[in-house]
Amino acid sequence: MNQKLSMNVQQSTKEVSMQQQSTTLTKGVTMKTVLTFATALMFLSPVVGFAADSTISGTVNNTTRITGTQNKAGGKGEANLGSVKIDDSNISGRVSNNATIIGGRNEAKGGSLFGSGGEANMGSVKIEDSRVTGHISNRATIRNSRNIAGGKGEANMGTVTVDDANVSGHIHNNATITGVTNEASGGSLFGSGGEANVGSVKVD
Amino acid sequence: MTNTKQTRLMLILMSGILLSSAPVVFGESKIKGTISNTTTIKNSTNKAGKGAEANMGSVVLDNVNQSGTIINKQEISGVKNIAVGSGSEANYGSVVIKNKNVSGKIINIGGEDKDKTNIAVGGQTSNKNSIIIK
Repeated sequence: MNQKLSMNVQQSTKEVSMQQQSTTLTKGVTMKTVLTFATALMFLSPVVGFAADSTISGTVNNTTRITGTQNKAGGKGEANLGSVKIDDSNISGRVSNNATIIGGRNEAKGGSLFGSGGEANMGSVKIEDSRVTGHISNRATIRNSRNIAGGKGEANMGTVTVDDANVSGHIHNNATITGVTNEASGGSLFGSGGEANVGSVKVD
Repeated sequence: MTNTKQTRLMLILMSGILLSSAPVVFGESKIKGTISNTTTIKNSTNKAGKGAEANMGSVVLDNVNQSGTIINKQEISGVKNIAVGSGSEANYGSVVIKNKNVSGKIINIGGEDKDKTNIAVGGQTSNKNSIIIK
């Protein structure tokens, strides 16, 4: 009986230890999976934040002279005239825009129901979701011109706009504007827009 | 360590990683350097409808971390700066700072106040040649 008992005990002990081993193994695998997932997340998250469509090392320079020109965009509606627009990018270098616009008409209708579009930039620099290491400079002379944005409705004229960006450098805006109309209607049914900037610096 | 404890530990670890990595970029801008705006605006109209915000010859910082001087120098005459509707804010010749940290001087230099109309209806804020810090 005793022998049998001891045998039984040994067996059950073996079973227990086997079970423990398998539990430890499962825990090990789970821990590994979680740690792998966590490590992947750690690598992924900054990518989500800093993901840049374009990376430019060097100066971005736009120099234009525009006379009696019409620039119209329907549909999503983004019209840029004599402007620099940087979106989702990483720029190491100076960004400069030097625009002379006379008798220009820049129009972004974006008249959709939900108003996703409608952005009109004239003689402006706009930087969104980007990182710029360098100075940003905008020099605009605009005369007798119209800049109109419907839909989402954002109209920038002789302006520097920085939105959700990281800038290490000075921001200079120098605008001479005469006889112009700058209009953001935000006219779509659900469009929350309606922002019109003339000769301004706006950062948010 | 029990299963529950390990699960908790994992959850804390995961939440920590998610919280520490997600808000790095979005939501605000960071500027290290001077912001200067020098403008001459004559005989012009600036309008904003719907959400409504019309800025003319202004520096507007909203939800921004900025270190450096802010200089706004403007000469504005014969203009209309109108913002109609819900939020309605019409600023001209102004420096407006909302919700944020700015370390440095703020200088606003306005020219002669002549033939200007500045209207903000509805939500109503109208700033002329001013420095506004909220």
